[in-house]
Amino acid sequence: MKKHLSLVLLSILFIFLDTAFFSTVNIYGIRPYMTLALALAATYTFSVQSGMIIAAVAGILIDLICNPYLGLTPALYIAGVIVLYGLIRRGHPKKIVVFLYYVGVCAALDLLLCLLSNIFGANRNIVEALLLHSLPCAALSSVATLGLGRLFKPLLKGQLESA
Amino acid sequence: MRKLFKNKPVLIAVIAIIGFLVLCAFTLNTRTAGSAEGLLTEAVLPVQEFARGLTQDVTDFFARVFNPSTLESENESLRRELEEYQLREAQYEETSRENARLAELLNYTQANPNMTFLTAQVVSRSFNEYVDTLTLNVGSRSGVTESMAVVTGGGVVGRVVEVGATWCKVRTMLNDDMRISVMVQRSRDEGMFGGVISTAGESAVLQLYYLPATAQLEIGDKIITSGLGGTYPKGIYVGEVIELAQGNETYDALVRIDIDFEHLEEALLVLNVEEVVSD
Repeated sequence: MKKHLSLVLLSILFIFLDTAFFSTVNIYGIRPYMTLALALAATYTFSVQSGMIIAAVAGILIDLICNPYLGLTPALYIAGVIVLYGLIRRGHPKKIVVFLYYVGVCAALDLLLCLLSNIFGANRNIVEALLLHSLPCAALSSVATLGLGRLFKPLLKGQLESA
Repeated sequence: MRKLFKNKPVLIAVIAIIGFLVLCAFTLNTRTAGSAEGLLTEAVLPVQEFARGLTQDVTDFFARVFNPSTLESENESLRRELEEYQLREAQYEETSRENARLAELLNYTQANPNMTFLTAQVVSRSFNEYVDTLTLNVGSRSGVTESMAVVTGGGVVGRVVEVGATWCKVRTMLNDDMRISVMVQRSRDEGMFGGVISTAGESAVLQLYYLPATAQLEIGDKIITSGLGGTYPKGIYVGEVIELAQGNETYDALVRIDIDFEHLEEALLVLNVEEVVSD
């Protein structure tokens, strides 16, 4: 119960952080994707099901609030969650490896968005987008993911104890 | 590969991703929001407005803390009556900024008496770097329709792509695929405008192209909408020419639009344009 409540409250907070705060407060567009960080942290700490639910619900709310299309954000977030699940399901790797997984997943999603915008008429330099936007945003998001993972540990302990 | 799809979470994820992508494909075009989507968005947007106001307060606070010139006066008033003067200063500053912005919009509406405008507040910006969208707090109940032009005193912001009952979403000129049919105000040469070169602070630079070979363009020329295409009424100020093509560029000129998209707080929707009949 505690875990579910924490995830719901954090999801709501992070949706508004992403859509209201970081859309204005950022350094040349570089900002963490907090809802993605939450979905990835929930996947790693709890279960892939938790991560997918957060990804789907938070993603669709974000699209409702500020994107003209519906569905791309949850699709990308779910893809990120399932990729992370595939990477970690064979055992718990070292923290640095986990951090690199997070960076890889976040950067790949951001770059995919860039590629999609190019398909729809934009003319962005992919390498520039990767180096100047995707990787820095991914690094920030990954730090947030690691922090959230540590935050969830007491909840996980409580879950294991009650089980 | 088969093993992967036997895994239940992966299978559910693949189905969900396909479902969401299909939904995305259906919602890509300019449209009026469905009832479920409209209701949900209307429920969420007031909280979004509050969050955005809170963000503005926080960023203003940090701007004052790190700006030495205001820090001195704040320190002096803090010696006398601490919190009360800080609060008052924040309220007055916000009111005067709002007045300045609204005065600029009023000047714009008075300068275009043949157009009917609707003032709207920006309640949300797009979530990612690659699609630039604004959400405004007016919708079909206020007369907003799809493809309506959105402007400010500094130029064209974009056009409405999605309309709800009390909100609408605007795709801005910062999207590389946005194009406007324009003309040079002085020489009446027609061309096409769009494609971002750079954005910096309170302006953005976009491309002007497809001008006739005989066009006599000069730096400082004002660019206005030509009215072709039907989306943007004729005569709306778009921007000013700042650079002419020198050699093999794909554009004819670069045009600066004086809009700080990142900090835009109000905008005007062009509801109606009256035909001006000359005697």
